[in-house]
This record gives sequence, C-alpha cells and structure tokens, in this order.
Amino acid sequence: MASPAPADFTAILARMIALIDTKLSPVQREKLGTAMPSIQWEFPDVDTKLCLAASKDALRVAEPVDHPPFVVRMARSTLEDAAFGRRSLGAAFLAGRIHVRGMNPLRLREFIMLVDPLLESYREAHLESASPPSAPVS
Amino acid sequence: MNLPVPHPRLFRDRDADPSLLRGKTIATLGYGLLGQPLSLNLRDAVGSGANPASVIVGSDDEPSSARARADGFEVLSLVEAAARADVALMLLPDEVQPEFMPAIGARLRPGSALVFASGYALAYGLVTPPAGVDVLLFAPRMGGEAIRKRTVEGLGYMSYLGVERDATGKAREIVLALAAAGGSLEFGALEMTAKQEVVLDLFVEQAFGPWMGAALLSAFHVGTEAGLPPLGLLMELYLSGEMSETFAQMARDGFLPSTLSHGFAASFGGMTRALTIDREQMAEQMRSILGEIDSGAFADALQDEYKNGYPCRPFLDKVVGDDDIISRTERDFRAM
Repeated sequence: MASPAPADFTAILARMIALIDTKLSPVQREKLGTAMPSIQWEFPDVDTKLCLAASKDALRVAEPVDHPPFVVRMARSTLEDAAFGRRSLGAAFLAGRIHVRGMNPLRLREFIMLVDPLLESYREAHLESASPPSAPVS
Repeated sequence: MNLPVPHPRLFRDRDADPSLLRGKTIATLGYGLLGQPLSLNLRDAVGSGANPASVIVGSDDEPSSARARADGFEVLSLVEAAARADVALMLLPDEVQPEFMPAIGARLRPGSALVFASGYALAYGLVTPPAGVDVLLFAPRMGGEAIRKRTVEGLGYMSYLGVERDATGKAREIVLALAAAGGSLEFGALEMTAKQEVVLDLFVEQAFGPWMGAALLSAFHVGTEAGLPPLGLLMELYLSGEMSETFAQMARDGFLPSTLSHGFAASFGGMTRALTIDREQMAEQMRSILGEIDSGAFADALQDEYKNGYPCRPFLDKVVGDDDIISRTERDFRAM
C-alpha cells in the first residue's frame, strides 16, 4: 500500500485523532487526559509533528510545541507497518524504532488504552483518504 | 558529607541452629518459583531423622497443588495449612498477598511465625499480620531453580533476613534456623528490614535492569544495521556465556579487577568509552525511580494493576512474545 504524501499524512493523523475520539468512552478520555493531557507525535522522516490533547470531553489536535512534556517519535513507516499488521509496535519498540520521552511509566495503563484504537483509527483514516467518499447525491 | 551506611550483619551456618525446627510443622504457602525449591530444601534438611519437621504445602491453585503432590508433599488449602503451621512461609506473589492475608492471618496460631520471602507487603503496609505471631523476613536473592541447584551442590545462596516483630522472644533464632535449613547460610544472609529489602530489590530491577536491557538491544540493532552478523552479535552479548562468566568473575575477583582481566585493548576501549556516557542523566532517572519506589508510588501502581485484572499484561506479553529478529536468531542458533 502506497504511503501518503506528507501533507496528506498530516490530514490522516488529524482524522485518526477524530476517529480515536469516537472509540474511547468519556471515562477513558478522562483517564487519558488526567494521566497525559497532551502527547506529541513526531515523525521526523516526513518532518511532521502533531499534538494530541485529551480531556474528558474530547480528544483534539493541538499545536505542536518546542518542548513537549511527552513525546512519541517514530518513522511514518513504523506507524503504518503496525497499523496494517506488517510489524507490531512491540517489535518496533524492541528494535529501537519508537522513542518515547517523558511518559510516566506508572501510567502505562492509560497509554496502552490508546494503542489499539490508534492503530485501528489510523488504518481507517488511511483507507478513507485512499478512497474518498463519493459526492453526496443531491 | 553523608557517612557511609554501615554494612548489615552477615549470618552464616555457624550462627544458626536448624534443629530448632525439628518437630515443628512448616507450611509453605504457595508452590511456585520459591515454594517448590524451599519446600524441597526444608524437607531435605529437617524433614527426616529424629523428631522430623513436617513440611506441608498450602495452595489454592490446582496446577501448583498437583506439582506439590507429585513432589510428595501433603497439600492443603492456604488457610488450612496456615492453621497447622508453627512456621508459615508466605510465598504468594507480592501483589496478591493483601487479598489472601486476612483469611490466612485469622487462622495462624499465637506463637507461630509468619515468614515473608519479600518485604513488599509489609513495607508498604498492605498486610497486617495478627498479634502474637512472629513476623519475619527470609528473602532469597536467587531464582527458584538456582536455589535448589546451589543447595544440592552445597554452595548455598545469598538471602536477606530480618525480624519485623518478635512476639515470642525467639524470632531471630527461628528465622536463622529457617535460612540455614532452607539452604542459604552456606553462602550467607544479610540482616535487612522489610523496607530495605523491597527497595533494594525493586531499585535494581527497575533502575539497573532496564539500562542493561536497553544497552543490549541498542548494541544489537546498531550492529545489525551496520551489517554485522546477528548471531555474532548475540554471541558477543550473551549467547556464548562470556558475559555471564564476566559477572561471575566480578563476584569472585572484584568489579574493577575483573575489568583488567580481558586484556589491555578491552580495558582501554571500555574505560575510554565509559567516560563519554552521560552518567548524570542516568543517575537522574535512577533517583526518580528510587523516589517512586521509596514513596510507595510504584506499589500503588502495581496494586492498581492487580485490582484491575492486570490490564498492562497483554501489552507487555505481546512485546516479549513478538517474533522479533533477536528471537529468530536465537532459534536459528539452537537449531544449528
């Protein structure tokens, strides 16, 4: 499957966050927001940064910052390999392809809660972008 | 300037009288990693001859119970074994103990001894042993399989021991007798409080272990990226046994002297590279980990994990169980 161009990639990530939002319950959102109110995702190979801000009410895209408290950094292909089942995040982590900085390891549970919805949402967002919905019939 | 903390007292066989356990009923509560080797060691030491001790097993877990029966032990439920015990060894997993302790404690008889193999539950106030019972610590510093092997070979193994409550006036003699009969004092046991034991144990597991693991993984992946053979890298790192021999040599000859025994090129290269490592960053992280262990924050997280059915376990199991290149290389080697 072809990877999206960087501009598309940012749009797919934004859509991914919107889709994750629909998969988490308010309780899960609140737990995530309390444990890690913002997670900056960085994909240096495509010069893309995106900040996920979590609160009880919603997950949303926030502006990336220079010194984020919590960063997850990987190549775009690492995310796509995991989302499409080509290589797991665990294997990527062991191989040093995912760098996590600033996470409170005692709140791992809240982060794990995000992983499957994130991969599923990325896959959905990617497929949506590959086949955009047809124009509504007027 | 901080004064050095004095060395804890080291006990050896000469300090103990294992015959104090003769005629008593010793119950090992749990028959897992520690329960099996300790039960076997205790039975070998004081379970036969004149006035033998009776070593029984308490277990509510059927696979563990079946293993204990196969090893020839009488197996009772946890609470029934506790009720029979003069000396009860609490060998359930740390995070599980608070759930079972009220029922077990209610059946312990005054004058009996309750021995913990880890200081965790005591140190963080997660259990309240009943009044009138000696509360002791006997914490082996060795994996279960090695405990049995080293005992059979007459080597003994390192442990920590201590008295948290002396209700009978004989608590220290009992824990020393148990450590001797359990096979530890041939090597030696250091006197520790429950809090010291658990902080030491968790600190080295969480502060040192991950750095060692991360260094190994990074060396493997940097090397393979550069085209070095994966099997050669794993051989250098641990498969050949050279690294474990190096650790054994550190224990035998001393940490710094052992660095000189690999030839000048190795010590020149190793020492010069070590100078460039950011030790302050490493130390800062270690201080943070130590703070969370000491304050009980880690224990809170572990208890939360247990109460919620181990939600992190599938994720961690998946990371370890993935079909990664290191596991594949190891399999290839074993098939050669």
